[in-house]
Amino acid sequence: MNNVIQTETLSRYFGESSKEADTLVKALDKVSIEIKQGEFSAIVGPSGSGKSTLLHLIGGLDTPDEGSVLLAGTQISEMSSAELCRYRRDNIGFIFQAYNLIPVLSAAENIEYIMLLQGIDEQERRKRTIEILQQVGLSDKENRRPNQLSGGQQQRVAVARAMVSQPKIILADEPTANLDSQTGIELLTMMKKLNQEQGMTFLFSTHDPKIMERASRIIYLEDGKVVKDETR
Amino acid sequence: MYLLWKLASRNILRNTKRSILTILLISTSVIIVIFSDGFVVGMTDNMVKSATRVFSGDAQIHHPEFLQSYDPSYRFNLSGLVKSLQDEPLIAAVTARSISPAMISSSANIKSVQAIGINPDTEKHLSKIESSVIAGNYLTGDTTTEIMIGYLLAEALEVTLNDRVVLSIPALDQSDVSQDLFRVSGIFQFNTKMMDEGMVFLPLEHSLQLLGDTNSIQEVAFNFVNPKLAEDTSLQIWQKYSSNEQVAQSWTEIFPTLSTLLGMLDYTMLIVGLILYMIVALGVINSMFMSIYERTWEFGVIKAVGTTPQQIFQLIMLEGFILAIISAVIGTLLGLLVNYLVAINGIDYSQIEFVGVTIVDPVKTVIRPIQYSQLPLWVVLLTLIACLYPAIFAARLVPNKALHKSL
Repeated sequence: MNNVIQTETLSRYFGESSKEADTLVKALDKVSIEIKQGEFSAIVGPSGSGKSTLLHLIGGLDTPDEGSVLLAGTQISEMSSAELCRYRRDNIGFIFQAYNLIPVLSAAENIEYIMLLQGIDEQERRKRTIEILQQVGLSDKENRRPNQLSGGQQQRVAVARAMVSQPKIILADEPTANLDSQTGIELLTMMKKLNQEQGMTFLFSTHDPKIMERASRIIYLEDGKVVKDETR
Repeated sequence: MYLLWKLASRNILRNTKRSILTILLISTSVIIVIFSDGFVVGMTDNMVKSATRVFSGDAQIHHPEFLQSYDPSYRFNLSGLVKSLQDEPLIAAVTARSISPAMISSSANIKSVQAIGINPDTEKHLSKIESSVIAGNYLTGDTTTEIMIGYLLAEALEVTLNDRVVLSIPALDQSDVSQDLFRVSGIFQFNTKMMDEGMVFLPLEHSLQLLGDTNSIQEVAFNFVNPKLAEDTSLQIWQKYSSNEQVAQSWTEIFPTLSTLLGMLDYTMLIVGLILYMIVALGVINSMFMSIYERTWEFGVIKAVGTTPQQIFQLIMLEGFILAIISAVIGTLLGLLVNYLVAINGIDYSQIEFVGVTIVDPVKTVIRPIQYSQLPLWVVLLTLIACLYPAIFAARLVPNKALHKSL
């Protein structure tokens, strides 16, 4: 299978190193990984190991100090801010730890948001929204605003939002961290099912053993370096 | 656009208190700008009216040298002039006047004054001398002893109605001084010190006899049907009644100080507008930045899921535009209401003298189309300009930093 994500000697530094002060932190140090299409992978490591930084760089939310990111063969490190936004819109779905739904939009509107940006017509948008709401079990809550939904329900909407535009890659940053155990399991089961049915590539950053149990590959990070890469 | 419209309108509604405060700020400025415009225009009209319609007239004809020295020997031939002007369709009233320096004396005092001979019949249609009489009567022209003096002059001369005064006028040929005895037939009050203390009015024919030339005149004053016509330098009247012997001039040339001052009112209006705009701009920028800071993570989210910097810029500008339009509508309606109410009752500045002009009537605001077209549109435009910086700031937010706490 083709590589969907490929990083080459990807590095990200914070702080500075000079004669006066040495505050340089290598958040990510020459990380080179390849993720194939349809993988359900997890990046695992202790806090400060560089998991989120790696996810940010892969998602084009941050710019590397060294190295490059290729997504489906496209070099994104050199893209302008606007080009990156359009690339993310069409190719990447994000699921955030804190759900990060748009508070002034209802569940259905949050799901429709990216499709509106893509210029998909209303009929198609509506059809896809109804389908995905059924898949995540929220058909009866489509008109509720985020503050009228539980944490688990909000994360389901976030998953639906990430998947509805059918991106090549879904990046999920600790998606179960704020959920109770049962809700987390339900959500992971749902994502795994969607992964298997639709062939989307999932890449998680997580501490959660439940995700690790279900991941087809686990990449271990420590001090910004890959220390272990385990495929199951 | 539908998406941006939906987001912008809901973002405005999400913090109603802040939105109301912003709308209040912008609409108040619209009200002040509209009222200031109505008041300045009303004040200008009032001052022009006070300056021209109280005594001088919208325009005057003199000998070209007369206004430099007020020497009565600079005179021009009157024959047929008043009749010709009266036949002009644009002219509403015409009167001829003699003007000369004079000495007036009573048993108690002596004062130098300007003796003005007027035709009582034509004068009363042009100026407010008749209505300014506070004691006695307006001139009739029937007797040769009647004279009207100002109340301040009456105090200085220690005279009252029917008291005798002597007026001495130098003859035009400088050969002699003509003197005559008058009885004070009327006392006037214009509330302009120069007039109340330094002018006396007597019948024109008598005045010309004292001057020694009944065919020449120092001044012809006239009013237009529409006072605004006096400011129109392209009118044929100016050329028609000007020659080597006489020059027809609008009040703008006769009272250059007043004309300049009124011109400065436009600048005052501009400065008031700029100060208001600065206050509004700072308020709008502050409000927009508060709104942006509050939603920083949200901008990170929408940028992460594919909203372009341009769309975020448009979103902030659209929010500013909606606030500005709502404010402009509210401000315009209230501003026009204020102007309407002040236009009915007016603000009483009467009895106040300003650069030699006494404001006679209450100042009434004027409602004109600019107040519900250009002025609110300017405020909308300037509000949008104030939104530019916050919009650029939001568009340039780096998603990683914006999401730092929440991702």
